[in-house]
Formats: sequence, structure tokens, C-alpha cells
Amino acid sequence: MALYELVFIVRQEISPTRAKELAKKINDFIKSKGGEIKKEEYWGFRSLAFEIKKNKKGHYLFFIINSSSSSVLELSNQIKLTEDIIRHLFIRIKDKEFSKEPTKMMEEQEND
Amino acid sequence: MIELKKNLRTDKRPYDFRKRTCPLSGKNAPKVDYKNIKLLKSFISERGKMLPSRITSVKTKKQRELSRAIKRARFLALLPYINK
Repeated sequence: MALYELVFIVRQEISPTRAKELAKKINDFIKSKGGEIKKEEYWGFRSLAFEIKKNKKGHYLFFIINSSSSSVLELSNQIKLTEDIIRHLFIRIKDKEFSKEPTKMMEEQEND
Repeated sequence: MIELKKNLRTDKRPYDFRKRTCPLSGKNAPKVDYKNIKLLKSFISERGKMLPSRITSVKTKKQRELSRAIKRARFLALLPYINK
């Protein structure tokens, strides 16, 4: 078991509620594999710095997951097959790097 | 010959006493993270390139962290690769 950060971008045609359904799917998948979601955030409908697959904007979703590497790999493969997700990034973090406070991205959102 | 060398030395600018400390080291320094875009933006040029540490006086170790964070933020389209 290790901690992972997951960020993914959902394409612009999708409604926020649908994006949150996708988040729930990931939640369920991790739980079914015996993992745990430590943190979940919705960074909002942000404009991308450059176009990705004809998308100029996207929904950003962020997770911190405590799970085994094999199920993370499996999740990664599933995300790749999901066409609504245009980009994703997994990063392994150390236990001491984890904090319960909301990330900087949430602060920025309030300012907008 | 010795005199010439001495002259060369005096030609140089005297030691610069301006404070040159790393903005990312120390007690209250912000943590380098790809999620902290406001911080990362202060270390890239207008064109979107990373600034060299000799300009920003960031320590080598922190510059490496910064480089990694900026590349991650770029991949997630939080920062541009190029700003035309």
C-alpha cells in the first residue's frame, strides 16, 4: 500500500454532474480493490493552457488514494480507455507529504 | 607581471554585498509543488520558459524540484509549454 495522487481532466462537453459521476466510479473501483480515498477535490471548470484533443477547457478532478500498485495500474489502464478523460497523471507521494488541508488549487478557485 | 595581475584584480567589481538568498529555502519558504501555480508562475518567463537559477538565485536542489513541478504542471495544461 502506498499513497498516490491522481489528477485527471474531463473533456469540456461533459456536465459537472457527469464528471462527478466519473469520480464516484473511481471511488467505487478503489474501494472494491481494498484501497481507500484519502482526499477528493473538484478544481472546477478551468481553461487549459493549450488545446488537448480540441478541448479548450476541462473539469479538473483530484484524488489522494491509498492503494496497492497493482490496482493503481489497473485503474490507469481503465482511465486510458475512458474517452471522456483527456489526460491523467498519477504521482506516488510519501506519507509525510500528505496533509488534510485543501490544496492550493482550491484557494485559487475562490479568488476567481 | 605581478603588478599587472594586481591591476586586473582591481579592475573587477568589488564583492557584491546585495543579499542573494534562495527564495525557496529557509523556514517560511513555500513548498514547491505542481499544484501551486501562482508560485511556479513567478519562476517562468513571459514566454513560458523556466528562468535560470542564476537569475532567481534558487538553490540547485530547489531548482531541480522546481523543474519537476513545472513539467508536471505543463503536462496537466496548468502552465503553457510556450506563450506566443
